Amino acid sequence: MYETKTAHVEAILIMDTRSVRAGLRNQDLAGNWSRLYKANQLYLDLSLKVERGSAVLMGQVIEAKPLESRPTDAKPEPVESTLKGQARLKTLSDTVAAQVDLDESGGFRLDLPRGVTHHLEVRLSGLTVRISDLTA
Amino acid sequence: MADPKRHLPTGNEGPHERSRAEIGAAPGGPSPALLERLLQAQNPEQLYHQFLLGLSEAVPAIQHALVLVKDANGYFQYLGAYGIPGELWRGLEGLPEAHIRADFPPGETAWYRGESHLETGYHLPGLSTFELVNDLQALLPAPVSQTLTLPLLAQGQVWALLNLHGCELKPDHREAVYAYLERVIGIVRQVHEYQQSKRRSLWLGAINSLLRLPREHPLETALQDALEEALRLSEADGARLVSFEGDEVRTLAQAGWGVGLETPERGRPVRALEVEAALTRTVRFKLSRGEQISIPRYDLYPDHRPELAEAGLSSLVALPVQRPGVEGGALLLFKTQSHWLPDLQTRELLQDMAAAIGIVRHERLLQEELSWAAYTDPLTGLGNRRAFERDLENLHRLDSGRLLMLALLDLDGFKAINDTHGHVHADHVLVRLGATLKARARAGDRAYRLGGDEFALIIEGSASLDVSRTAERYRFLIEEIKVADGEYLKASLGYAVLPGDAQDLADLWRVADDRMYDDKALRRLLGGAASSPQEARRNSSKEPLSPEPSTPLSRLTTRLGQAAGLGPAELQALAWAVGPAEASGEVVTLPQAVLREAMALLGAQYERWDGKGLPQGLAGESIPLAVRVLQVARDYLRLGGSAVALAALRAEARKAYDPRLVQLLAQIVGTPPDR
Repeated sequence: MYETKTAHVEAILIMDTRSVRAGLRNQDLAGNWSRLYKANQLYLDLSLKVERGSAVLMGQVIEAKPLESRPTDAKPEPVESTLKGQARLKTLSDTVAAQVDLDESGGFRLDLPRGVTHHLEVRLSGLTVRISDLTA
Repeated sequence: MADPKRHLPTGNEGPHERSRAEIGAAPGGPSPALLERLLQAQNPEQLYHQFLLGLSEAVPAIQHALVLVKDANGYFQYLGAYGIPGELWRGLEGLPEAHIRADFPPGETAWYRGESHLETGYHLPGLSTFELVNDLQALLPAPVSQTLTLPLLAQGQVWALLNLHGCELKPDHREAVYAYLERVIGIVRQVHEYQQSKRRSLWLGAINSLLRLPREHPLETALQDALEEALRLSEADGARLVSFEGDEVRTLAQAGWGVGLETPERGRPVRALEVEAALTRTVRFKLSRGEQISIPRYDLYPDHRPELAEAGLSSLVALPVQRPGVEGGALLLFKTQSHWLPDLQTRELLQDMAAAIGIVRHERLLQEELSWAAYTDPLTGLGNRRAFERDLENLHRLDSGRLLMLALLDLDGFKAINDTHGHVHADHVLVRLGATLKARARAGDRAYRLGGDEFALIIEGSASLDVSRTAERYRFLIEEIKVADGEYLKASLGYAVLPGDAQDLADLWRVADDRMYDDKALRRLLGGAASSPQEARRNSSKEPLSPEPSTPLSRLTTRLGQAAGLGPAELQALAWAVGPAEASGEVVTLPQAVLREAMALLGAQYERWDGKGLPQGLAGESIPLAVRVLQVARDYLRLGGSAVALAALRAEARKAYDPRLVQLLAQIVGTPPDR
């Protein structure tokens, strides 16, 4: 249902945030991160958490609203319920490796295999947002 | 069309190729001249320029060439060109690998297999979809009929992209290209890696240099140097080092873009651009959690400041500068080019630099705190004895040619304050004393608590400094401090100046100390030091140091002196001046100040009211009042202490004697003193 009238947009990286902890700098900089992407009028908030050898990619589609207008520790506001969709991990050869539906807040969670580069596609109604070359 | 030559040997793809590519060891490697040029390259641009120059020499059919190298963020950056003016490619934003790969005609599989591709016309994969570059083809200085694109592989990844253009790239031309790459590319990659290692070494050198900062080196200068080094090595356009102080952001150092930049406001004069405004609440919150933030598209960042984006701020990196237990700061780097995101290695090194800055700042803060504690009296906040000795020696060593005055103050009866009001109350009194001295000390004067109830002042001044008045002013300040209702602090004072009273510091201190103890002894004798009735009684119960007014002369001088208005100190000196002469011969050790005063009185007793006396010929009221009292009382008794004696004195009034005192004497002897 998404294949026919869908615009494909490569998301633009806007912000990359990494935790810096003394003594674990290398691991942290190369490991856990949070990124904010923009695609058309949507933001995509992605974070990668590496724990005990496995990596989890968590994301949320949020509306394009200045972050400053809400408390710094508040959760992003959920996307409207009409923007239902799926998040897909694809290999470099374009094979779908994993796929989940967005939850009611526009969020998703995917296991990201370590050491393998993947593409992420967030497929919404009429729009597919692509983020290339994600590696845990 | 796909070029038949596939799987380009890169010289760095596997163990066999890697060994072949060892510098100077590969048979058929680059010519010695080219090898020397490659090895002498100081930066990637020079390296890839020489690489492409060598290629053009080997394959003259190539008219233009571009080389893009992938950075740690997966962006292919323009690092060199041949036949294309620098202004056309330098500063162009890097291309994401995904864009190039998607636009590579043979497809992704061919990309990852490193297959070359020949096509008609100009084509650089990724450019057609990249929003910031229009059409490089239109800008090329010569017509291009064919493009050969070669993804260069290393360790299974495309690490560089070669884009070659010529009117006609025939098979033998392409063979020559492949042969050249076989000979040269391995060395190029090794030199590139060597340059990166060297750059990392420069980073580490800068960080180590900061961490080894000598104590005497000013911190501000070191931070500025570190910031400029971070700016240079990160290839950013501007940098700031800021500290957070509550809601305020204070700039500690700044360099490059944004310094002194002004931005116009509609209808208003231009104002300085505050690049620190990029530190929004969200960014500061993340920094406070120890997170480093990179914003490669500042214009798209939801909370961007339009004035900063308009001024040219395109990318931003903010790194936390953390300090244990206190709010820290941030190291900020700016770029006027979009999509700037330092690679992971650079960000790690930047974070090391930020950490080193945090450590050095924290260390300096601890040093300052230690220094403060070492040289400060914690109760009063005044300098302590160590600071006093240090400052005194420093001032003396500097020898500014100015007068150096040392004033010592010792609180009178402070033990009684402790005993009567308790230690807490007494400490509060000392705290107030410290605050008073700090707030009301003359500019440049330094106050110290030497210990207990002893204080000192070091005062510098010109030769015209009124040392007595200056010292008394400080005593006055202290004696204004209230201890309890109707009870105020009292202090004994001694001072000395260098040069004048002493030859060296030890002498200066000794003289001031002696004078202070003389003053204290005198005040104790007079009861002036008593700060409470109880202490006055205790003082009065002590063995008297004053001679009892047991002789006619001492009794008369005392009485006449009181009538004439002499103060307690003068009366005491007068009593000692006449006392010993009539005492029983008992040896008494007099306080120095009292002795000096008594001697001065005796020395002046033969002056005359009309100025014809000895030794100085003083006249009238220039003769000390106590001396005039002594003269009148002495001669009255010498002449028999009768009406005749009084008449004789009256006859000599205005000549030998003060007429007012003769009149007072007449009033007194009308009621004969108690004999």
